[in-house]
Amino acid sequence: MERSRPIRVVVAKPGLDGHDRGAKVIVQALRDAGMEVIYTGLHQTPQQIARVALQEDADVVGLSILSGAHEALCQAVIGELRGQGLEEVVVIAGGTIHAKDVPKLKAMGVKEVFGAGSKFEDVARAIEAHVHGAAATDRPVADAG
Amino acid sequence: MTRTTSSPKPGLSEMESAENSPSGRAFVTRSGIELPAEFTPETLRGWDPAQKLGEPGKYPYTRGIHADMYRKRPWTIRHNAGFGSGEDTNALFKYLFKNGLTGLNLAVDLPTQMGLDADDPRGQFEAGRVGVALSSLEDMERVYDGIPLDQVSTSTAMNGMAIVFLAQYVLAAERQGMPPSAIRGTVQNDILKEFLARGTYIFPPRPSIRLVGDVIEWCINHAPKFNPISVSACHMQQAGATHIQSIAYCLANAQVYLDEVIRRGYSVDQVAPLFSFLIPTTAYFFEAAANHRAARRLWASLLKERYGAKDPRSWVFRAATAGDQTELTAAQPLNNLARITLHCLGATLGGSQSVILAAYDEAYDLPTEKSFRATLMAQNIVLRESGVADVVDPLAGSYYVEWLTDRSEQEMRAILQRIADVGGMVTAIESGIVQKDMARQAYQEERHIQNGQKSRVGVNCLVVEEEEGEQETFSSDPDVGRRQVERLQALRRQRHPGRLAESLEELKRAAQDQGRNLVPPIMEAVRCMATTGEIGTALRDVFGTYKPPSGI
Repeated sequence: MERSRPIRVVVAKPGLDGHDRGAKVIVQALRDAGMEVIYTGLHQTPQQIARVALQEDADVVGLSILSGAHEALCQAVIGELRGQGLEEVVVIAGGTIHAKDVPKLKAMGVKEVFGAGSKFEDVARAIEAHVHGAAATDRPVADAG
Repeated sequence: MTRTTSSPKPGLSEMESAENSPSGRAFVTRSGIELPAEFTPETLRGWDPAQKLGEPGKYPYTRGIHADMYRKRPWTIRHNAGFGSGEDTNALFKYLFKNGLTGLNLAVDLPTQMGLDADDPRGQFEAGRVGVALSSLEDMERVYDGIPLDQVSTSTAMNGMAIVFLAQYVLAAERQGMPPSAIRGTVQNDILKEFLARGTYIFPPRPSIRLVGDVIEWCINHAPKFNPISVSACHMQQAGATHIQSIAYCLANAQVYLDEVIRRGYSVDQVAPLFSFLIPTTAYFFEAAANHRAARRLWASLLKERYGAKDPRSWVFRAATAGDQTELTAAQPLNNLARITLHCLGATLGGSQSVILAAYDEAYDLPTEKSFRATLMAQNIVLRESGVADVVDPLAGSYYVEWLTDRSEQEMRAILQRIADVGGMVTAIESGIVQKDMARQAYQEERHIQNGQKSRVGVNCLVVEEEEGEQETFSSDPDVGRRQVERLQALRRQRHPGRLAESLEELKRAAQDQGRNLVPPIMEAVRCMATTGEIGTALRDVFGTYKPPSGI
């Protein structure tokens, strides 16, 4: 089964933090990289984010968090995605997240963490690698590549 | 230990060659005003200092709001602070005062700002995180324990819940033995910029503006030393507006609030003197200073000419200035000390009343004690060692800065006209046009940084790789939320349920009546130990919540 549609990304702001310059910038950057991007807007609960991911058939959920509550919020979103049967969705996070917290986020299933100053092309490339990588493992060998 | 990468992208030399090439970068200010290489006496031909500048402390206040400026009154050195419980924040404030701080900016946590209690599932991970939790009058008293509210100048970024903050603050002062007429301080109470940029809105714009007006109106009558509003440009700039646009939007918002209170039967001279402002300063400090001077002149002219204000206090644009945090980098955080020093210069060459700078490590987390102190000392070095405070308006008469000040005023007037043409700021907000513009500009700016068109040291030139683990960071208490919830539950058990319920019902009745000021019923609910979340819920029941237009 060859992937024919563009990668679909849901960019979300979980929690109460209203700073969404970064989220809106990354939405535009990923669109320019050829992806279909849905922005949830502010003040989303983990349940709402998982519902949007389901409805939009998302390949990727990007969480923008500047409130310092990234550990709890990422855990909750991943839990809700699993609850919806969306284990395959690639979760990435961005915002004010210190390097010392990155291993904890990765251990709970966040695939990549992008802090302030991350390059658009690095974000896009990482997303493509994760989405296509995940797809490749599902495909018969003959279809790969 | 640090090492320079072998091929920084783009390298310093590439940047330089790009700049030197015939098609090299345009020289523009941070707001995009194109600059010739040199200014000459021709630049100011026909420019009349008597009309454009006047005397310091006099209309149109281009040179500053006081005659002797910093000789008599140095700017207030402020810092944003607050986290965890009331006691945590109280201890931090006392530490900062000992280290040269002269004013407090209280940071409040997100659940409180959104009118939610610490145990509300919508904010369950965020209690006490980016600021202190103020769930009740008791929390307010803990923050200010031993800090006299008639002497210390405190400022708070509460907006949607500013009215609840005011009630808690006034009652905390009352318990310190002070009447409302004695309290000092500032509450931001600027909801329109929340819709435009900061995102901490609760109710739809129109009831939100009513609450802003209620706070201002109550303070006119009861708390004349308290600043009931500080209209902010900073958040729009952080969201992507240019420096000039952000100030123009801020002036447009301010007029919405002025009109709201004047509509209630107050004269402009009763209302306008209570207004203060918060504008950004950037490392591009000549422009930051020029825009501040232009804003002062424009506000004075609007108030005198358009509103017909007679009292000079109404013409005065009193402003605090905050450093642009989007310029601070996560890469090589100590470089940010140089940037915040330039921020301080921009603010004080512009004649600011009060300066708030970030700490160098805020791209990582809340500041550490060490980074807090470095920021305070940077301000003190500018104040005590640079000489900037020794003379009034040091840049006056500069060909460049006066030209820039004039250009800036023209641009701001043009933006105000465009907002008026689309039907005013509230209509503009509801349609989402300003928000879209800002998002587009933010993206463009990031692209320019990533492709090297705009220099950012340590990010796109002079890149140095630092080894991990070097950065010491603030360590937050993971238990802060749980402790706040326990306190809240204990508080709820101590209250008189009948009186409490009646105070909340009365608040709802008042909210349904457009003609009533909601400060007194909210104060009564706070006296009955209603929590911030309970008051928020009562108001949400009447006003509903805001659904923004799609962002981008």
